[in-house]
Amino acid sequence: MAHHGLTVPLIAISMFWGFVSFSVSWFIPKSLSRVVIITLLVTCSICCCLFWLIAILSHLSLLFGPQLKNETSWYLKHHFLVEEDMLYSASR
Amino acid sequence: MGSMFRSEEVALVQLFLPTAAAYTCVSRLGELGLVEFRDLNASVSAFQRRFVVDVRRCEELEKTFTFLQEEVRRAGLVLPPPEGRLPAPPPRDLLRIQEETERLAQELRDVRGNQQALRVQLHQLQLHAAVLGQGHGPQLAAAHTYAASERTPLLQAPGGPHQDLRVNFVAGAVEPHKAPALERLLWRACRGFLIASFRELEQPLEHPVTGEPATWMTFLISYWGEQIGQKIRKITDCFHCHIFPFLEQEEACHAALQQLQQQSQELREVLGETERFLSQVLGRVQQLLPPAQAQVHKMKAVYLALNQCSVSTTHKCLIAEVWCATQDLPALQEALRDSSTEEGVSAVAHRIPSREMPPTLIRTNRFTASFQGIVDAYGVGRYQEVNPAPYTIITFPFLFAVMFGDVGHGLLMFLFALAMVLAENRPAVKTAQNEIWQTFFGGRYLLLLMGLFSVYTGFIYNECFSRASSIFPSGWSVAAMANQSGWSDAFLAQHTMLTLDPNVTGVFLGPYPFGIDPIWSLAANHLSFLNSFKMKMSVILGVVHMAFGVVLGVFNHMHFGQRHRLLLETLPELTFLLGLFGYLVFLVIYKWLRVSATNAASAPSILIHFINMFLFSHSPTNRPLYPRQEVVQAMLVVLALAMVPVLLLGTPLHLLCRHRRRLRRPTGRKQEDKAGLLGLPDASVNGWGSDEEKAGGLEDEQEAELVPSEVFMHQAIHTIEFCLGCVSNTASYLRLWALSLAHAQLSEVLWAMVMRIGLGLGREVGVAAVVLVPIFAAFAVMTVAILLVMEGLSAFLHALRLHWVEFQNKFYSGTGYKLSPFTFAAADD
Repeated sequence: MAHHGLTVPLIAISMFWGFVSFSVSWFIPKSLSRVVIITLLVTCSICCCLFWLIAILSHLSLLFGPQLKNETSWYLKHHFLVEEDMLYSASR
Repeated sequence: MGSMFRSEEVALVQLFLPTAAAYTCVSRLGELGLVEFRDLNASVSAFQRRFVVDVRRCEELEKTFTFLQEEVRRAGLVLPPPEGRLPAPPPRDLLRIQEETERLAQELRDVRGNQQALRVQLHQLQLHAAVLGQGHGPQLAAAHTYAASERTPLLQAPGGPHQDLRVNFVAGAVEPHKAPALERLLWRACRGFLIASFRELEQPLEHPVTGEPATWMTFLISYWGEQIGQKIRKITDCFHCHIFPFLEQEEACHAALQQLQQQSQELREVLGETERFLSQVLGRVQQLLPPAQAQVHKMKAVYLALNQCSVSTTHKCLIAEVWCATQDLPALQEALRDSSTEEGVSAVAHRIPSREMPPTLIRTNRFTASFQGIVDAYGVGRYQEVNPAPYTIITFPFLFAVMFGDVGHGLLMFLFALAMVLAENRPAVKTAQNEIWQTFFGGRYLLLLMGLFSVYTGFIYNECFSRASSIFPSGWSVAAMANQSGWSDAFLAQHTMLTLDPNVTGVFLGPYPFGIDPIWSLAANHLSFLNSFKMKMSVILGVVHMAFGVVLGVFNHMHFGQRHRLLLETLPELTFLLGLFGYLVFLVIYKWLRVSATNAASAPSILIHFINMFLFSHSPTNRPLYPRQEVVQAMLVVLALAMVPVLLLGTPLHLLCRHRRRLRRPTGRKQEDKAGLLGLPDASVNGWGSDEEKAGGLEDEQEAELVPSEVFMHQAIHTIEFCLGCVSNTASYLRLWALSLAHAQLSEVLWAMVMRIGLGLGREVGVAAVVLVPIFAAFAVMTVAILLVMEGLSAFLHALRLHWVEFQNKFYSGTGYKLSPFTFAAADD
């Protein structure tokens, strides 16, 4: 994936945690602790989803970029993202 | 787990136990472990209670048990645990147990005494034999010559004292550490008149009492003169030496030795018989003692519980008041019915209303027990208030993980906890005595969840032993930056640090889909980004957590029927919290979404906006985030400040109004209330259900105890605590940032200073491999000791503090007490 957006990950993660909290809840067998287990699943989903959301929102549109050492830049420029470069120049 | 959300309903139950069946009923209740007895004889001292004689008998029996146990332990045997569950024996069995135990104890004492005496005798015989057997050859020879020349004067001495130059002998044995002192004293006291020879025995003899081997020293003193003889005897008496008659002639010596050997042989046989008998007795003790101990322990507990009941002479029964969970009432009634029909009488149990706060009962299983434990460590909840434990099961490990986030460390913690959980049923693990291990073992489910969440947050922070991993391709393209800004290799060689600019097209390709971009771990300014991210994250999590706490208070108000508090307390609290700090969260998210790199130079600063919001001032250089921002902010501050007097005065004024309205009602109603006020604890009011009990109790409480100044004071304290607490607690959540930063930095330092040096050493495979072994060992030890144990404990403590103070003081009072049922379970384990 050359270009990341917010939409695809957002949909994927929301679906995952939504599945965990809603669908899995249906399958918990009827026992004394059913309500507590459902509470656990919902709390877990909310916490994890919120944490991921904060992480992705924080670098959605950054005001500054990483400051790299020249050795690192040289290495990344030549060896690491060569594919990216080719894809990018092909699409231009 | 059942309903962990609030305490179960607990009722006060009055039991009428007929005297004949009282013991069996209470013993049955102890087996079930359902009820907690209330002490109805609190004003009576322990010596004046009804069953004090029985309790004393049990205690004496326990003393004998302790003696028997000590004897068994001394013999090196082990008491087997009692098999099966033995009920408390009926009182008539106590006599039988007492007799048997006394008999065994007496036998044991006799046998032990005999054994001691025999051993002492044997020891004496052995010493005597050793003394006789010890060859003091030259001395004897010298003595013979002296004896031979006893009639001729030694030196040309003038008669007198040297007339009786008959040589005498004193033979004996002395303990080795006293021998030099004895020798010295003899020399000083009787110098020149004696010859003493000390010799050590080759074999050590066992001390009869302690059983320790000691090598004795035998001595042979030849002296002349009566006075010297007396002196020597006195000295040897002082030193507690064993003196034996010495026979000069060889034959007499041999004969005596043989006799001694025969005697000691016989003695040894008798000793053997005694020890066999002793082991028999001990075997009987081993059989009898464990069940008897368990039974008497239960009996004593039953009598102590019976002592707490009050006696009703008119009805010939005991009256007990117990706290019992409403769910368990049928079981309680059935147990009473069963145990009393055996005796042919019937015991009765019925609910009575109570003015006191019942104890809290929350049933947990082994998973939820540790989480309930950490909530209870702060304070056991009031009866039927909201229990934070079910939410804590997730939020506590989550907040821990935010401060601890690292995939590698989290995985280690998870595996350690998993090992403990999988091995939890092994008996070796259960009976371990080490306290520190017990602490870790008790919290194994806690550690399991903490490790699991740490792995998750580790993936989000993109840290595995402080290394980042590119699961997805990074969102930053250096190549694009290099092409666009002309970063040729020569250019790179000249400039040591270069920054990627997100404004340049193609450099920033979008946010990393899951977590933090791995390029930040290579960047020199990664802390600038991470600090900003983590601080904002802490504030967001903090505001959400605290708002959740305030919302949980709603459930309390609804359950206790105090709906006025919803409007007069919860609403102002939420408005204050969300209006100020919820708005801060809004600003943070708005800036993340709206402000981009294109106008990065003039980006607004949230901090300055927030400060200006409170000071109602304006910074010209700080551009607003959205139009009419100042108006909105001013409105919010005014609204929040307006909520403070509502919070301060709302509830007290409402309570006062209600109190006055009630006083103005007709007197008939008041009489009824008065009767309710005077209701005695053991009045049998059968018709009261739980709702009426609750409402009635509350009404009486408010009527009887409405003191205006107290109510206003209480509310003022609550208001100040909440409002100031909002500010300080939000800032307190910044510890999430601080600790996660500390953990990341420690982890990075450990890697850079230890492992990277190890991995960068030497080109040859052999050298690097050999050197890497101790380096990795050092890395592993420091990781476990510093990062897992120290940082883990630190993050645990801070997560605990965040829960106890910042979260729970929004809704939890924690001033209750636990239901501790009367049970024999401790005796059975």
